[in-house]
Amino acid sequence: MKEPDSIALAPAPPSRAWEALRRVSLSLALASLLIGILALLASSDPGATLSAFFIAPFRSRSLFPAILENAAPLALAALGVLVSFRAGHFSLGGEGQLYFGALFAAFAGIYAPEGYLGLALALAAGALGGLLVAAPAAAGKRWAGADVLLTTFLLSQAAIFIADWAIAGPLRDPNNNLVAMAAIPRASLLPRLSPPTILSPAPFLALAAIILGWFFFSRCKRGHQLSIYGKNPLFARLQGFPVRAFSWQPVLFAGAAHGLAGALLSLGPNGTAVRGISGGIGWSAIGVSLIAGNEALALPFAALLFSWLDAGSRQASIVSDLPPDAALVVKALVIMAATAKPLIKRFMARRAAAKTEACA
Amino acid sequence: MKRVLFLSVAAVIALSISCAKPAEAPNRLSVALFVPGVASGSPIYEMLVSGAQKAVAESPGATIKVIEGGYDQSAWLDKLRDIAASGEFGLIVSSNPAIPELCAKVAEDYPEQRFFIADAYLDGHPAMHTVLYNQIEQGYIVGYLAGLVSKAARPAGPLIAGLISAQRYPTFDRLIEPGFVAGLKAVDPGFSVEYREIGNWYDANKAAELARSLYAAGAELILPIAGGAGQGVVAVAAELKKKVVWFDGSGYRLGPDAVIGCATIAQDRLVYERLKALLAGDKLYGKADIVSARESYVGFDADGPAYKALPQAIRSAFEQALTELAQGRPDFTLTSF
Repeated sequence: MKEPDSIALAPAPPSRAWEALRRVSLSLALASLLIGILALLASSDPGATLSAFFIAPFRSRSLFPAILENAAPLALAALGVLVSFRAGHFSLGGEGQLYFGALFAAFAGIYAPEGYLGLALALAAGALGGLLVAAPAAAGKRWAGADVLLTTFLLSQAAIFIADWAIAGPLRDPNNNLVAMAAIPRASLLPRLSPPTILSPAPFLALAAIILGWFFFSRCKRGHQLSIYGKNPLFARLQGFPVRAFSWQPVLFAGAAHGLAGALLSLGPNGTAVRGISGGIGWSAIGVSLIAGNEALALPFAALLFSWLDAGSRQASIVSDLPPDAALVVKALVIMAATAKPLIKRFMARRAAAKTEACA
Repeated sequence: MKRVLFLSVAAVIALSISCAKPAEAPNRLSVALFVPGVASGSPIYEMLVSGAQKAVAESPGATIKVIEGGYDQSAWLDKLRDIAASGEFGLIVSSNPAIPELCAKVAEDYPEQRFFIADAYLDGHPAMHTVLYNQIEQGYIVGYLAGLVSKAARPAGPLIAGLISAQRYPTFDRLIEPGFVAGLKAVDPGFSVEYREIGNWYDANKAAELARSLYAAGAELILPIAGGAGQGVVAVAAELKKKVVWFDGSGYRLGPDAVIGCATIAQDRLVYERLKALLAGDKLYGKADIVSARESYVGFDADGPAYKALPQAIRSAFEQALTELAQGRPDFTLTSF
């Protein structure tokens, strides 16, 4: 048998992490372009608006650390989303889990001994709060096969109502004109690393969690098995993977991660749980995870992108006349673009195939 | 396509760099007016804006930027911090009892930043000047009118007045509610107050439900302290041919037949006077004042059709009470809060 003169190798597909980073870069580019368009269309002072996004955060001593700080809960919550999504569980309960985490952390922070012990207990309580909101959904999936998407969403809504009631009612500080719990003792809050910036160890905590997440999915057998389970539960079962555990553990983990993110909010500059403190972070985290292509290493960058958009938008509304919700529009369009990309790719591939067929 | 995208981004960034202003120290005469909510539709914030704009217009070199903080209280701290961090403003002006605590947190990190907060009280903070309205008097004014009208409508009793608030907060608990009760009881000690809480400042539907329940429980008249949600109370009052007394501004236009009286505060005048003094260099920082009916900062708007339609005897008795209040009878003097 004659051997071929040369073997044509197909180019190796880009690694998952590289592809995710490319995706985040494209989102950044798209967001920048949209900001430029918005500045021209919606602001009477486009120069000031653009400066608020592209110059102010990097010129001010306070703004960039604030972007880092605000990205931390977002990244942590997005890690929860990522684990849940990689396991094939579409959890939409992040907002309520995060809010409950903030509530539990504030409660523990107020009543636990002051200092690092109080801080540690508050962080643990935050994770527990989120986990408790996720637990019924996890149990429903484990024992009744209940749809995680529906149960997490409903439980989250219930948790939001309960947290609203608790913060405005029995747990409210009667001496505070804000609807908020009592202030957590300063010694139990996250320490400020470089005042006047609000930077705390939160971004490092989030980064460490994300590296652990990356390690789990890329280096651990159990992580690979979980990813396979997320893509094809039947195949995973036939392979003898622990599919029963996979059916509920990721849901609980997502709850705990969101709860921990909520704890960072209460233990940060707010210094307690204010009503509405979750502020949509649970929903934004889904967008962050989608933009990061459900790849852990890209999460910090995607979270930074969202945090930067928020900070830039606030600055633009302060120094120019751009509406403060402009960042929401940009975020929405970036998420739409990120989620639409696979559909567009598939459509283009089909068209190309159809063309090839027609030529043949 | 990607090349076009990246080239566009490069152009946007280059444009922003070329347009960037050089960093400057914050100007003492540069004012950021932080509205903790939305100015449009809120009489108290509309007065805040108009008073501040007038003061700035009359202060040479002064500038003002109105920044709306929205209804989400949890976002106010970030916004205030961003205003201070921008380095663009020497003075932040606002109005809300909750704001001083947030500003105090911001001031820890930005000690050069100055604050003037109306309708709030925090004494002794070196970077802050606050002024509180004597809201016991405000509550007393509407309570007294509510008492007179309710008693005339139900001479045989039971004498019940309704009170609906968005939420409980210290100013409401310690000033507004006691003042309202004092006004009612000054008319007849047999009055009782039925209270309901909405839970937020915007849910007019829930406010309407609560108002319906209060009128059904025998209240002839309701005082809503509920921001935008108060419109739900007025709508139900108009539907049931009942009455409402209003707070903090003129509410006659919301329900010309239902709103029989409005306790007012001269927020525009106060903000104008104090801001002008601050911009002129007066050393008011560190001081907290309480202003009252004696200086005409707390008063009553008599220019409403439903008020004018009240029997002369009621209006005379009420106006007599107003005159006496301005003279310090009853004496609700507050020295601190």
